Amino acid sequence: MAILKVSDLVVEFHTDEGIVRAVDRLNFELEAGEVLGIVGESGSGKSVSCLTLMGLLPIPPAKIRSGKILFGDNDLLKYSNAEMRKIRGHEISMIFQDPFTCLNPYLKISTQLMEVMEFHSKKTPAEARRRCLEVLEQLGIPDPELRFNSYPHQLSGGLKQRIMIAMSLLLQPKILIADEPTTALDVTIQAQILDLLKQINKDHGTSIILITHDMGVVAGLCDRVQVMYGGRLAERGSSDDIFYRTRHPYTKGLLYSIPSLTVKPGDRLDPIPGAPPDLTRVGDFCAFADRCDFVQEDCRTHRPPVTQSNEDGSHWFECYHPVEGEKNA
Amino acid sequence: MVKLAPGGPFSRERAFPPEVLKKLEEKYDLDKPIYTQYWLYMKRVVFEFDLGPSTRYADRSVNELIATKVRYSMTLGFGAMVFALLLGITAGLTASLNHNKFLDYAPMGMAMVGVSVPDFVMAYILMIIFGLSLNWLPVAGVESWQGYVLPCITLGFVYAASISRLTRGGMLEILGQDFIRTAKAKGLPKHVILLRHSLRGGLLPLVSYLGPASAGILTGSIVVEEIFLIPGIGKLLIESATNRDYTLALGCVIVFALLILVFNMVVDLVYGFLDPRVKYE
Ligand SMILES: Nc1ncnc2c1ncn2[C@@H]1O[C@H](COP(=O)(O)OP(=O)(O)OP(=O)(O)O)[C@@H](O)[C@H]1O
Ligand SMILES: [Mg+2]
Repeated sequence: MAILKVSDLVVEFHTDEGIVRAVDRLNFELEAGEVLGIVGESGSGKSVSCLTLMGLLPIPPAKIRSGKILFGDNDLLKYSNAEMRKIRGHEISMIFQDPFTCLNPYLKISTQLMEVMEFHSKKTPAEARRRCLEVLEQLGIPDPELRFNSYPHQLSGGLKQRIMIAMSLLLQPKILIADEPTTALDVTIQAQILDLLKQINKDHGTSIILITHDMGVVAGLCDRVQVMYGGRLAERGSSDDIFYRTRHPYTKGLLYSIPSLTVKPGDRLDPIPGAPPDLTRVGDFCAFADRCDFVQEDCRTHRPPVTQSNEDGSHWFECYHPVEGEKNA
Repeated sequence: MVKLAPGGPFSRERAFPPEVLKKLEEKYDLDKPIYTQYWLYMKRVVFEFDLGPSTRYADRSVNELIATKVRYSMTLGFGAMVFALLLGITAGLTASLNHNKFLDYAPMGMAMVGVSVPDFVMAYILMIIFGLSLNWLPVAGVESWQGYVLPCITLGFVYAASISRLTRGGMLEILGQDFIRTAKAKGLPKHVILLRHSLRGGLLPLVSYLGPASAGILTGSIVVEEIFLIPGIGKLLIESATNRDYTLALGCVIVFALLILVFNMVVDLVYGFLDPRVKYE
């Protein structure tokens, strides 16, 4: 059952250079209890679409032109600020890329954890405190009492991200959005944090939306994957669909960007030639047309319709001339 | 340095008879060589907190003279500081919370004016409007509290302007930080995000400015006391300098220096208290 249903979402930024359409008629669903990976190049609208779910877009310059975000039976886009505030951190919570800047350096960890419950639950301070320590313990934070009373600058990056995760789990949200949660951490810590997310998903059935650049992470963790390009969904399907029955040329390009063993770690690969699309140019054409090897006339005159790749419609893509979806990768 | 200026405390229109002059100079140690004078003076100041007798007012010590005046200067300086903080922080917060709207531009425009108008011009403008035209407030003397209003505004306005800019800058910087986004993502109410998460960091630049600001207000008070005829240390200093009252002038300067030192120390302590990353060993 879908716990979250986004339909026809359009988000624009009004900037000095013109109107940037960061999210362009986006449709997707999040199933209860699944881990959904969102991948795509920088600027493809991954963060913006998730911030929209949270009601955290900076408005202005951002503007939501159209769309619906159904959470249960309610459209989150129709919620007032006060109603959204009750959802945030309680039913849907979010963790961000850089744990070094995402914790308030002036406040103790205890304050920053406890305040989540201060405004979302009727727990007494003693109960809230117990709950915090319980979650810290569950997340494998050594010596939780000590960390609880520390300031952020006294903790390592991995610990900070664990604290962020703890913070987002205190009230057992239905959805956890993780926007590149490991990008700022070193490799061993990355693996630990990802394991932790998997664990949370298993133990509590929390649905997770995981934004990442890393196809390897997707393969290891996600039940379902959606590939974003130019504010649209290029392709969406199960991990197996995406890795082994790839249809969209862009997805194929991304898969070739997985570093092989011959590549030194830290090398930034950009095997897809050309630059990301100019989002101020909005129109009826495929956003990937300029960089696509399979481009034909119709790609430039119409936006490709959603095409289903299997019977139950769980694997679909937006392309006129898909690659043949047999063995890739 | 004071001694390099020509003339001495006893050179008046009607010269003293030489033997009286000699006696006086002996009393104040002025007959000794300059380094001995310096040594004797320092010894007394440091070990006995005694700034010596006034060379002009024979029967009064410098300590006593300063003590009688310090009340006026403190009231003025304190009033100016409170005025500057209240106005500056209010304006700065208003501006930062209404970024790029009218309520941002209006206070910042005022601040621009505030920074560029010198004290004495400000003083006369205020005197003319509130004192002479509207007749609301006295333009000189401090017989009643109303007497302090215009001087405090004159002295504090420049600092209010700077403070509002610092507050605005600091707040805008903090409000754009990732941890504010985190606070929003936690579903915290607006006032908590502002008071608990933003204010501390947002006011830090202001706190470090308060040291130099108090020093500035102190020196500014010299001019303002003169303009508004307030009998404070500033006015005392000017008088003592014109009278070549060595000990008194030096005494005033030392008191000023001490005050500035104390302010800066207090500011450092407050800063450390506000920012947990700063630790004193
Ligand atoms: N505050 C903003 N003002 C103007 N434009 C913005 C703003 N935030 C995002 N955008 C635009 O929206 C587009 C999508 O940005 P978004 O942050 O969603 O990309 P992303 O897929 O998360 O990329 P990354 O992988 O780098 O995080 C970008 O092209 C960017 O120019
Ligand atoms: Mg992003």
